[in-house]
Amino acid sequence: MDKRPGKIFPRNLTARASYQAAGNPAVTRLEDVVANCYPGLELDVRNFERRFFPGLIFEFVARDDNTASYTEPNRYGAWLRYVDYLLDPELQSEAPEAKRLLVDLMVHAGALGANGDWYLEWVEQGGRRLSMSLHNPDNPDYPLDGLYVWRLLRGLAPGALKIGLKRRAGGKEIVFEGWRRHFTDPVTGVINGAYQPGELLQSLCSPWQHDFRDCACMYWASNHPDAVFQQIEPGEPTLPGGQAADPLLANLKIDWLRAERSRDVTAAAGNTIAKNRPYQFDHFQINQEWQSLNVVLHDREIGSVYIPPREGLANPFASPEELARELREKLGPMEMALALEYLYARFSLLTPEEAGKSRWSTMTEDVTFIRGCLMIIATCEMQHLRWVNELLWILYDAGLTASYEPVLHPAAKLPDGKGGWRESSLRRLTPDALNDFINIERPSGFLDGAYSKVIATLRSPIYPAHAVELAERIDSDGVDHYSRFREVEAALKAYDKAEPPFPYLRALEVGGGEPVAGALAIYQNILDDLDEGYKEYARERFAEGAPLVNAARSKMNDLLKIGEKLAASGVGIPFWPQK
Amino acid sequence: MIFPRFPDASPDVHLFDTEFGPHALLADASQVFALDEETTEDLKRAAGLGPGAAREALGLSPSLASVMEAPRDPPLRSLSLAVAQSCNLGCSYCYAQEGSFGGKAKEMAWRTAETAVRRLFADAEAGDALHVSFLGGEPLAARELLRDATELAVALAREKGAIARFSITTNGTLLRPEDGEFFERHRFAVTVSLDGVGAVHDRLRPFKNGRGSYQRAIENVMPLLAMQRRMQISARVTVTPDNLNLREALDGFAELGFGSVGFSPVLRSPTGKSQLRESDFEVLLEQMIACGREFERRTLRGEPYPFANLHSAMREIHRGTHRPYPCGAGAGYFGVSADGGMFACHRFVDDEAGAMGNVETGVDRARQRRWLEERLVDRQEPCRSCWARYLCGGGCHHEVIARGRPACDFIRGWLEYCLQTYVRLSVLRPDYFGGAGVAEGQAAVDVAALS
Repeated sequence: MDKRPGKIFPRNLTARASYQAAGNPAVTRLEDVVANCYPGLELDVRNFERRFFPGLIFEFVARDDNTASYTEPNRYGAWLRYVDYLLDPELQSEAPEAKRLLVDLMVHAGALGANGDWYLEWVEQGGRRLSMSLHNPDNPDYPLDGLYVWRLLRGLAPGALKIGLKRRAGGKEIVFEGWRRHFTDPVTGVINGAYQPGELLQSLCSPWQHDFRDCACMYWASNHPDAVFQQIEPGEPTLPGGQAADPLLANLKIDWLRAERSRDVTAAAGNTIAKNRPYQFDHFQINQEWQSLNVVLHDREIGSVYIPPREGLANPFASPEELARELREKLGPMEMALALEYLYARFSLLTPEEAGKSRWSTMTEDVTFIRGCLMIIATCEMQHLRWVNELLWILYDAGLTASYEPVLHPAAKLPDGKGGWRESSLRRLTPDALNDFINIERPSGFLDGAYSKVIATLRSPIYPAHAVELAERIDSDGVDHYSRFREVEAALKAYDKAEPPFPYLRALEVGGGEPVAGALAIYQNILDDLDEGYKEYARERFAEGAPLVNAARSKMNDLLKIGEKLAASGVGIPFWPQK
Repeated sequence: MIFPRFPDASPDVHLFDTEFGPHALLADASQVFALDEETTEDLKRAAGLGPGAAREALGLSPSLASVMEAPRDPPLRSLSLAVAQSCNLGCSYCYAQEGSFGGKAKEMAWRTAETAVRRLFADAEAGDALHVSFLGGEPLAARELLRDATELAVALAREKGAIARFSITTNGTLLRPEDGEFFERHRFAVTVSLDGVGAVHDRLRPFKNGRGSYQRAIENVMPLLAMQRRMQISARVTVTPDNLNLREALDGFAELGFGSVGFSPVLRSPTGKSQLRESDFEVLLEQMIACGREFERRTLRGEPYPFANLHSAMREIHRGTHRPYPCGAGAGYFGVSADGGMFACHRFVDDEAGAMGNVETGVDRARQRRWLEERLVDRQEPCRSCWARYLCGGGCHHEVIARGRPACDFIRGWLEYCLQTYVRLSVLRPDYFGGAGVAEGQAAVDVAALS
């Protein structure tokens, strides 16, 4: 608000332009909108095709759901709704094609108006004809679903076009020679004058409601939870970490869009969209019921009462130096050790091809799933290692610490999840190893608490504002890892009684000497590249650092390949010297 | 009424008074604001502290106008062809030194003209407007060439979906009615050099044999004035110490039916003769303002008055034009000599100081970049500290390089008058500025008149 007492008045155009009038913000302009075919937030681009041909207005009749069967084929397609030759601006032009078409439309208007079942039968452009019916060699032709017809019409180019209309009841065709309209002016971008105000908005996204279920461009799907843990009612017994004491409740993932909301009948979410669909709110129900969908925090549905996790109670470190020491000496090396332990464990699993040869029918799927989990979690830890380094160089760049050296060595000891410590060790994914993994990632386990202090410290205004976000991201990943390991645990339960034990594992021993020299060389190169790259980043030389970090990443792929080869012959890479 | 002047504390803000109260011109975007007393005081205090402080004092957000930088490799938009480097007149002030630029009289070969026109349209895209101008010497001495070049440009424009615009500056003595028809068909902007009515003109613009050219020129021009529908005919008065009675000339030409009359003071003449001297500038300013007053009187009555200089100034001030150069010379506009050399503009033809390439190989980009960097108005002295710099642009390069800048006070005086007139007209006749500004027809005319 302008507090000056005086007044000014702009005389000329540039003076007037310096005043920004209140009004619709820039994002409501057409060039800024989210408009697509799904249907769009500001306009539905599909509505252009309703008037693709001058003088005719179509409606695209489709099935309710593109997985539904063809129950009423005679209704589907591009249905002629209206003949508009009086007001269509393109028919008022003096051009001979326009005059011819106008006459044609006038001549046939009576026939077209007399019956309500005229549909688009075919289009022809550039000498090629496209039929709007599916031709079956063995069965009668049937009309294409309206959305398919729409999609075919979308492929037309503006310009000369011939179309054929036919009644569903049968009879002669009417052929029109015209053109596909320019939907927008090729120079100015202005929407063609044939479209009436509001016409392009007749179908729109229905955010927060319908689209939770049916958004086909996955925008909404990517913005809402799908499988979540059930809420814990106040009073239900919980473990110190906050998760339910009841193991069923603690591990059960349910479908966020389920129609049956009562606690007693909760079933686990299926692992595909199609499997869950029948039990979800239907696409009209959701418009009413969306308000009963639950807020989800930390992967868990929240009912009416939300109890924030402990982190608010952590004490900050006394100084930036202390914080840096913690990151440098404890947390960074821990992330690295974990990443390597997980990676090693992954090498110990059979590949899907190897598993296919076993007598266990589900093993291929299981090892694929578990290898996937381990890769995700290992990569996550590597990302945490990167972020720990980033926090350290942020502190250095802000002048809060005296120096920055990259942290790229694994810790010798890791928390055992029961208050004590264990040796870091490269092991196969035996139940003991898996147990250790679960314990360290457990919410309220060591890792969780460790970052709470970091977060509490970084909230102080002396630290750069974005640093705390990195720490929060590391922290929030913990819940995800824990639940994934629990799922792995559940998957491996099937092999509990196997003889010989652990049929899903390779015979793997930590190697040494000549056979692993190549792998270790690549590993060292990766560390060297990261070391140099991070140093460049710390000096804000991003253009110089990026190629180094990228080189390290591509070498990681090489390491994976060579690691698999070695593991197939029972040799594990000694990421650190073994005792 | 002469208003008390505010002391000029700043190159960024110029305060000026009018019948409608105090006003300010903010130089960097050529914005004109009406102020009240309080704001004027605030602004006076903030004036010397830079454009940011001035804007804050007014409560404006920071200017959206970017720093005035040299354009990089600007596209070619306009060429003038010196189709004849020879002339049948002997005007003493002629920048072309009576037509041949100090060398032998020559005519441009068709090959050269063709190459030049093709180069102009080479990179044209649909909707672009490209400009061909015919100068010299006396361009009508090469009539065939002129017509052929025009038709070629029309054909090339049609091919590309571009627009070709044409102009010519002529002494009028060789004009024929068929020329009029040709200009009319191709919508030429025709500038006829007439330095005054009758004897005034004859003294300054004699034939090579010494006899006056007014009668002949005026006889030839009158029919064209009668037939103009799509072409625009304007008179250009080159102002020397010997024809400073501008009111007389303007009134005379207005009566004859000219729709536009523009005054171009001679600041540099190759012979040194006929240049305006220090003492002449005051008279010039008085005369220009006198013409301006008549323009205002008639405009308020809804009557036309063909004073092109003021008409242009109104348009530019209304739009808030702010430019780092006085013109497009060396940027999008080049003058082509009869031999095919490309020069910064028509005045620099055959002058090494403005050499920029040739029509065969095109613009010398390295030379152009240097030129555009050096000629920025913010690099010139005393321009960089003058409030009028973005309206003036620094003065004609050709004049300034040879003679420096003797006319700055005159220019500031004239611009101050224009700013005041702008305010008066905005209040008393806002419709003068139309919906989008000034009528289209004027634009091309004024450009030609000022060359």
